[in-house]
Amino acid sequence: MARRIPREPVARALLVLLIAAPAAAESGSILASYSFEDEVATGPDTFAIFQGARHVGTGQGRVSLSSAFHVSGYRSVEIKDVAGDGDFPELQGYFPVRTTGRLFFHFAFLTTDPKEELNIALAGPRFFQMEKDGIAFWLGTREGRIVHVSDSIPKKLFPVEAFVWYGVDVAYDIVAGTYALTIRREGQEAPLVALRDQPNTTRRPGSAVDKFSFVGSPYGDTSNVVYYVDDVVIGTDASVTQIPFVAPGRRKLFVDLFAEYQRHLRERPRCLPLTGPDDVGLSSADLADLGREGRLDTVKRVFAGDPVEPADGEGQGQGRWREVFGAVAQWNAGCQALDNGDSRRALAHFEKASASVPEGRIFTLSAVLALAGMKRLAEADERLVMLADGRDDPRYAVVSAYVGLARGDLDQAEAWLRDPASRVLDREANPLLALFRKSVPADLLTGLRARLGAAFPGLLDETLVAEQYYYVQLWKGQYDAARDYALRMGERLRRAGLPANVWCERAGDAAFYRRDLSEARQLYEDAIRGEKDNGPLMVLYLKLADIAHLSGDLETERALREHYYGALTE
Amino acid sequence: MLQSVRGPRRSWALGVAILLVASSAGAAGIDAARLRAVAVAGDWKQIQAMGTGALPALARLYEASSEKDRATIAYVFYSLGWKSPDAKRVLMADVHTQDQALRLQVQWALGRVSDDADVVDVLLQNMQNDPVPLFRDKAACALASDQIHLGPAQKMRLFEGLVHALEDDKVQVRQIALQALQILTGQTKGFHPVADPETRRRAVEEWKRWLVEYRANL
Repeated sequence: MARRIPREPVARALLVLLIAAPAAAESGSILASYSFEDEVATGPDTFAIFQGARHVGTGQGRVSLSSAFHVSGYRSVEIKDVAGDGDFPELQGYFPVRTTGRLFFHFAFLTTDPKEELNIALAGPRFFQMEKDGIAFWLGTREGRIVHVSDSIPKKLFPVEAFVWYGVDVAYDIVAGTYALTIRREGQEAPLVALRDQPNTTRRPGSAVDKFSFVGSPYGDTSNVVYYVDDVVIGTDASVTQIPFVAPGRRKLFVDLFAEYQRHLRERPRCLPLTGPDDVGLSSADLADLGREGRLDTVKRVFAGDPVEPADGEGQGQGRWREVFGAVAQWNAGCQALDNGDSRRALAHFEKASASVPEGRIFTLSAVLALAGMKRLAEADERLVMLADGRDDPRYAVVSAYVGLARGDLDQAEAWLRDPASRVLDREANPLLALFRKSVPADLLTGLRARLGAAFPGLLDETLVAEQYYYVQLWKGQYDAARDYALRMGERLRRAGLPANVWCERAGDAAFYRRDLSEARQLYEDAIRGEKDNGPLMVLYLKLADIAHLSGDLETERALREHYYGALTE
Repeated sequence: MLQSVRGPRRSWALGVAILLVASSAGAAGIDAARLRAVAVAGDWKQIQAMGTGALPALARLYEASSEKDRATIAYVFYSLGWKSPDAKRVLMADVHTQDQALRLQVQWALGRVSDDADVVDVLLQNMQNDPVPLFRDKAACALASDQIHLGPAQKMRLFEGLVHALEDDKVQVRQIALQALQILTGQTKGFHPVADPETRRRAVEEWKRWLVEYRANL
């Protein structure tokens, strides 16, 4: 039965955000807004629905749309947990990661039984762990009371009433690691709670956020809560331009990124764009330091593509960020040199940057480009291998292709496939075949170098050539050749008793690029059959969803996407 | 230190092990021979299907078994994650055993079968005073990750014990106590196990102030 409640539509929620953050009124952005009236496709850029978040198969809880209660419109989300079922339901939403500035989180909730536990949180890339970039804000009910977990302490706020809507507003200062919390009861203007400067959950300044979550009892499995959520809004005081959705629930297809970076490198070697602060080794703690020193403008300039002067890294203040700015200044100088065709000078700058901040991936990627420009391919290969843990990064694929093009003698990759005794496909002869796996342990290269001695450079060359050959075919638009090569590599690896899923997926990618969607679908399905890790499986399923979307098969697209992200239905 | 990882995606309960379906079943329905076979094989899923009614019989089986089999049955208790006074009683009898495999399984399992204060106490004791560093380390792991039934008030005792251990003479004890606190709270309060005594004292004071605030919120 619908319940009469005061009008508090999303528009008001947005207004609240803007009042809370005058700056947002001028330059702020709404990153996500859900009132649950219109259907929202689940996906990596919207939200996921987990009827049983642990996937143990015993969950009896449910997340569903409901018209029983609502704040705005005519529907809300009902979350129902079942104690002792070994699982818990979850509405988990996503927005672009925020590492600086202020984030505003508004929502309304109504519980049917205050004694039953519920939990609501904002978290970062480290998900819901008690650490930096993990849980940042945590609200819940405990024994009939609302609590917020601040400084790792569950702090009681007030007794909760059943069947009453509460409007919650959180203004989270990411750099300071503190938040203001306001909670209003339906029908009352004065807030029940109006707290300021509360330490975040783990009292960690600079704890990034990129997701929110509504659950029952994830830890103790002791809750039979049934509660409702409406008008979820995430805003920020910064101007954030979000690209439009290109398919349900997502803003970018995988195929788009490779082509975008390829265009970037097609004319001449030049630096690829930054995609996040960690590209230059900037951690959340660094950003927090920068915020306290009032130097976030410099960070913004870095990511806007403005050059960073050496003076920016030599200014006042302490902290590791000074090293990072010094490295970014070196990188900028290197990019300039690369643009001018001076690969030698560029490499010197990139190496200085990399030595100063080894975790800055963009410095190493750029060094690979400079080395390829000088035809110092063995050194380029070594650096590429060091980046192997980021093989899912399309920039890695494009740089790999670029090295392959510089090599120019990739025909040996074909020759190896024709030669049944080739050591490149012989696990005994070439231990570096382990590098065909998606994940390369950090110490693998060091161990293999010591073990293989003088043979190491040649074996490394042979190992990476196969991958480079494949990416070069993609680069040249020779998708048939890329697909055939990937298929044959997969077959040879299988015969050698090695995992071949990566090559099966690559064959699927090549088929995708040439828009042979039917074959791509088949190849991805083959790769799924041999894959056990959830991360690669998710990527494969999303690629299948991309195919269905491009094929106009909306039903299959939805089914595949919802295989991972779930569905929000009545 | 051990951190349990489960599930196909990172979620709320990372670091917190799965609680499993506790369907009720009468002890009368338990086939003792079958229970023994699956228990010493570590096949806890079969026992899960038997329900909580199997727990008393499982505890008796534990008492009558060799050290090797007791270690396996302790693992079964751990995996089930069901509160059980019987399981707690028999596990506590082995909480000081020198058999390495058995000791580790017992220490890990205790917090998953009981929320009693003496379980926290004995694990804190082992963490600080056991002569074997491995046992100390794994007791800290259990305190950090496996006390799944504790409420906020019961956690107070755990936090007090861990903060107390920050003042231990042994560097390893200070290190593992800090790690446990960090897993539970996400914080170090600036404590470093090998810092000079004065620096450590100031950080411990921070932790003690935090304890006062924690208690005030109970």
